[in-house]
Amino acid sequence: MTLYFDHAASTPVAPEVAAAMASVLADPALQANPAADHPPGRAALAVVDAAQAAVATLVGALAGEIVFTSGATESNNLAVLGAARWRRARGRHVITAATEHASVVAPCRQLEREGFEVTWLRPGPDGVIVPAQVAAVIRPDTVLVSLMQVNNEIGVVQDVAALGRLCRSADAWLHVDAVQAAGREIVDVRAAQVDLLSVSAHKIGGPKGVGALVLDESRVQRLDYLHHGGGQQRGLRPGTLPTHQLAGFGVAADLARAGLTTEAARLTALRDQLCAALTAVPGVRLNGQGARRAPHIVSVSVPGVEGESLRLALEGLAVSAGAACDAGHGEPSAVLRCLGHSGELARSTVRFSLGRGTTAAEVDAAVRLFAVGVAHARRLAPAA
Amino acid sequence: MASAYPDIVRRYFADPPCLGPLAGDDVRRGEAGAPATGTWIVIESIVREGRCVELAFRAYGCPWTVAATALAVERLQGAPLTSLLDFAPLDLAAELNLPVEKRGSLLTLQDALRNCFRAWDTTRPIGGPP
Repeated sequence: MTLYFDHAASTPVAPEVAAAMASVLADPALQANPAADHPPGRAALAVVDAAQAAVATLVGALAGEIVFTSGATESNNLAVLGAARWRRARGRHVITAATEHASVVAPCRQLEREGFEVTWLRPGPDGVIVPAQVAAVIRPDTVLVSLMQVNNEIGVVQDVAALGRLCRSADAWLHVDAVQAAGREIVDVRAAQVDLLSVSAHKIGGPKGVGALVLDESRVQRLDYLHHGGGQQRGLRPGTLPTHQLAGFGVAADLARAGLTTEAARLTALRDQLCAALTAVPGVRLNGQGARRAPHIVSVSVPGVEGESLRLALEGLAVSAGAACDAGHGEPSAVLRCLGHSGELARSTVRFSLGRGTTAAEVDAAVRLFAVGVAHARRLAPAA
Repeated sequence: MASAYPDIVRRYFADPPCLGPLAGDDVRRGEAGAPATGTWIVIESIVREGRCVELAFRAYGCPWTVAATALAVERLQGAPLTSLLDFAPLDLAAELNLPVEKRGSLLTLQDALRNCFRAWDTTRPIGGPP
């Protein structure tokens, strides 16, 4: 039996979500294309509309400001490439951080190849990009700032509201990757003055393969399209909408919003229990110490042991070395290197992430497995 | 990722025979690699009358490295000291179903065995094959 502590990679589908999706799939009245202009099409469209409203409510937006995508990678690509290219007549400067998710970093690299200048911020030793860093490099030709709300590897929380004020005053669009924040932190595009925001269904108990890009319509009317096809979703993201996926996403968003306060408090208590026990193992270091951290992510590094051996020693635990999306690349995490970790320490880093099903008893069991695994890995290695 | 390890690697990783350190004034060691390169192997030995009466290891490296080193050291227990030179770790690749990209760890193991030999005998050249 493996203890699942990888909810930041993907959290299990909530039973209510599975039921809603099955219901849509099984209902003969909901099989039409939601773009079709006839009664069955309009019935399917009602499912889409409900999902839009639910996702919008979760992030403080209007229903019409939700553009559904295949997931956060597409949302981030559409935001970064779409916004920068659309605004290129105004300027060709973009600000982001080396610690962003690969689906922001790679599009920014693409923009560099297209002649944009990208300023790559590096966090302080706690992993946080402070607004003053952005203020120091923002310019009249800055068209986009893209920074995540919660870092996916170490869980530190950035001050999005301060970034929003700063970007608004400079007329730079602010894109926030809120994939790890949604359902765990308050996400409010209006209050934080966020222009573009990415979320993913499967990080909040919804199905894989669906996400959303949220646009503040008062500021962002157009993006440069990545896909060309029919006129669905105002042409911003054409393609037939997956009704059953969206039904699940909508229910997951409703559940996340309804349980936000209580679940965040419960996870924070479990996180603190986990942190205290993990760092009680001699030599284990907590990443992101001193910063405000999201309730569901704990990242620790274990000096003196090799990363791959550490993961085999922890085989009873489903944990990540860093971002699951980067697993198997073999390169040490850019996030951890930015914190000053050596390549070997970055490789011997373990991310625990908690979710709806996590219990205090599981945390205790995980810590016992961790302590045994670390001790075994240390016995194997020569003393430095 | 972990499920890709064959049983022999899992077995030698979970319960490696001949795990160091050895104690005593007559222990000599040879090592190769470094943590920064991802592989660091230390071989310890006690040699009497030209034979390795005790061999032990510790390894910083991937599970394949640990298993290969444990297997080699287990097989060399009691062998003549010159066996540390003659042992060909690359022969373990097939037995361990070692991925090609991991073969560098076997060369580090070979260097560690040779350096362990040199800890006892500095007179014999230990270059590559003639």
